[in-house]
Amino acid sequence: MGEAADGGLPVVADTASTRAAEELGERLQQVPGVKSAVLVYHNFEDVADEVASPPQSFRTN
Amino acid sequence: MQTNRREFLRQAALAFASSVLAGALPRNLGAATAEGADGLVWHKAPCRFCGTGCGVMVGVKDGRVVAVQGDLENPVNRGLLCAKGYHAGVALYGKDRLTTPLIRKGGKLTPASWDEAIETIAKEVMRSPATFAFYGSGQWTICEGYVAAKFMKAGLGNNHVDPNARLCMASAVTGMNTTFGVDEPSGCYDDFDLADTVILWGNNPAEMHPVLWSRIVDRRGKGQKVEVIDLGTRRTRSTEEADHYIEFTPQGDLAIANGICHLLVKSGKYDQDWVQKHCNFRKGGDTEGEPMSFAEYAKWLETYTPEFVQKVAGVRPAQLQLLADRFADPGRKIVSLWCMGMNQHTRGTWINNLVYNVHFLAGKFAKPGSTAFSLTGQPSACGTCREVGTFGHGLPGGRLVANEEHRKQCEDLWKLPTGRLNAKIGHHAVAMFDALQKGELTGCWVQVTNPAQSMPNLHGHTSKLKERFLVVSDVYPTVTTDLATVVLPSALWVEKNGMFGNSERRTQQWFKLVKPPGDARDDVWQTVAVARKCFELGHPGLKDKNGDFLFTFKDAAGKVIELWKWDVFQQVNADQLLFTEYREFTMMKKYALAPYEALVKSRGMRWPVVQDKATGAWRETPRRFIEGEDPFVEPGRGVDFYWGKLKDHKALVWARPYEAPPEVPDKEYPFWLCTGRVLEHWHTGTMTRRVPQLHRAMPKAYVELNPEDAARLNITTGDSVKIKSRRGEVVLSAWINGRSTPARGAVFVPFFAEESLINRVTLEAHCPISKEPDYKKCAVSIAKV
Repeated sequence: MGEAADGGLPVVADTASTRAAEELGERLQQVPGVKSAVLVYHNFEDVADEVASPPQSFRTN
Repeated sequence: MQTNRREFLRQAALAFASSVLAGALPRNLGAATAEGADGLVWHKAPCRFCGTGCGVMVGVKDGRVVAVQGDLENPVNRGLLCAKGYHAGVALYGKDRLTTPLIRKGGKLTPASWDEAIETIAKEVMRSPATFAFYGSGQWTICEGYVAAKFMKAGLGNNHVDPNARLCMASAVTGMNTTFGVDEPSGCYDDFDLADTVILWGNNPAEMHPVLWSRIVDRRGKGQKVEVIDLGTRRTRSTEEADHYIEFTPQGDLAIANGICHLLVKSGKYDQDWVQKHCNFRKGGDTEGEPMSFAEYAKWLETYTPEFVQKVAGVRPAQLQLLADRFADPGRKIVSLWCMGMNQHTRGTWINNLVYNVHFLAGKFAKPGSTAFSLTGQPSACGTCREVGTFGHGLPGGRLVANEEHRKQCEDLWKLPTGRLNAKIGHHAVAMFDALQKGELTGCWVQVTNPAQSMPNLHGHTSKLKERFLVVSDVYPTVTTDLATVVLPSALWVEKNGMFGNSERRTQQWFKLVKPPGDARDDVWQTVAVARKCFELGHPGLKDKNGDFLFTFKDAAGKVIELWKWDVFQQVNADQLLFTEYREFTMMKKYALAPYEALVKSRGMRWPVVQDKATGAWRETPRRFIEGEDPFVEPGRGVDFYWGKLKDHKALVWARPYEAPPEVPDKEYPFWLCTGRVLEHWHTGTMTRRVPQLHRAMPKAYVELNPEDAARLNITTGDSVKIKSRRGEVVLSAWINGRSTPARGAVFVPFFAEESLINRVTLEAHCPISKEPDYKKCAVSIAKV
């Protein structure tokens, strides 16, 4: 976590999975006093397999 | 990953995030290409998704996109991106990317070589060139659209080329053409920073244009006052930020706009000086109309009393007066925004005209902070479809196939024999699929779009597609590739060189950063390769008047660059060659695009772009028609509609009446159906549904009902509900008090899900001028199943 600037707070989340990062983002949104939490830098270089598509349950053919 | 690298990345991410908050530029990231502190090489590119045109910094390592940041240097988004933008890099790596050409053999799509695929397509084109169509996209890069238009119009002498932009932007085009004689907005995003009041005419930018929405509402956090008035048929996430929500009956927008004008004229609180200097008045329903005086117009408006507006639009007189008061306030700066709600409308052209009327009467147009601005859904609906001329009626640079002089200009620039270009307008999108359905067209090449999901009344337009010769170029399997005779695997976004043109006339360029997977290839190459094969097979149209192949470019030594050969194509910058040829078509008063080299160095430039004679620098135009900003304005005019329809430097105020929609709810089908998009998915979801984070956040489509209707029908969230129209039906889960709340008697369904195609239900009725279908209102029944 960095220093506050202009009412904003930079937060670095280093998570074991992209899902954990999503959940953390959702939790941050719920923290009292947090107006919004937005992603500004997204590095996914060591989760190549994970970020590839899930089984395509919506594909009909 | 090594521990020290993890720490390195944490520090780099923290530095970048801090820079965004401080509004400063991190070291090295101002350049178009730079080595970052995180060890990645970063390059600029516009986002792949919507028409906002956000700048993205794409981080590449070992030939793979591994990180994404908002581009602080890009004035569109100043470092911000939406959820889709942050996952644009992930969208390249879905496991089911198409990586090899497929040809249907024995009923089954079977892997084939590129040579076989190209020859198969060329032979079919040669068999019946006049009944072969090309259906393209507002996601085409500029050069992809340009080669497709040249292949079809100059090569085959066939104007049956139209893009999916017909389904989203065509009414905005005809609106602007009939109002001030030239396509694309006069204002720019800078106006959003200055407006005192922002009016949303049936759009939901909080989900569809989130970065532009932030640009508006974040001003409040800086202590600025900005009022938002949301005119809509359902409460959305945008409504949550609105100061006033004014709900109206579908199609009632026509009456609301006329009602505001009536109050302004009746009270005398319109800008008489502005109107006198800059407007003519016109009546009639078509594109030509007839002249009328201001007095006749004022009389005509008398129908639109607050009582009449309440009757047809459901808007209370006090709400209409509130809108009129804002426009009557002389010091107030107002921006009107709209998107599909006004464009996908059986009177889409008229409602576009009418919103300009309101701004013209109030004198709130062509002024910093005051404009009427049509937002775009696709990244290059403007830059490609509208500017390149990939419509059935269009030619490059806003020219028209029906205009002999325009055809002659294009024949000269393309070095074609006189008379080569066909004067007959080609099919618009819906008519194209009608003709395919009937067998009047025998084949179609679809690039970068998914019509088997996005066409209205799907059964009526796509049930025979599998019997036609259908070529589909795409990056993932879709419901359209499922019907194809030949599937061509395409390069996606930064796997190729490209250019897009966004909503504010900004042309943005990017370079190929990584290789496409497997044997996927650029769409530009695919089209040139088929054109070349047709040339070799003897189609006379693929030769210019000197007998050379239409896509002939030479190197510095005068040797022909054999672009149709993939190994050659990969060694040259085909975009630079093609754009430089295309740019000649834009060298006129209304366009004037920047040269390729200037676009490489910039974060996009808004046309018209002219060169400063003294310094040699290229200068963009933030706002058109304003003296001091637009280089084509005649000195002394202040505001100059120099492309005005009557050639008198004025714009037109149109008397367009309220007209009831073609299908309204009745006893059998008692609900309005409105379809649209959601934050997480982009259009038919073919890319964003491959991104696990976005897919998890919005895994399936739903139907939203008003809570009172739901209670009456005993429907609760999660119940299965059948939505049925005269054309088809679909079953979806109900969502009550979810993301939006439709008006009583209305339901909303997103169209991103291929397993529950809502366009089986929608209506094909379209605006008779723009030919854009109305996806926003038809009558349906609702039943719990």
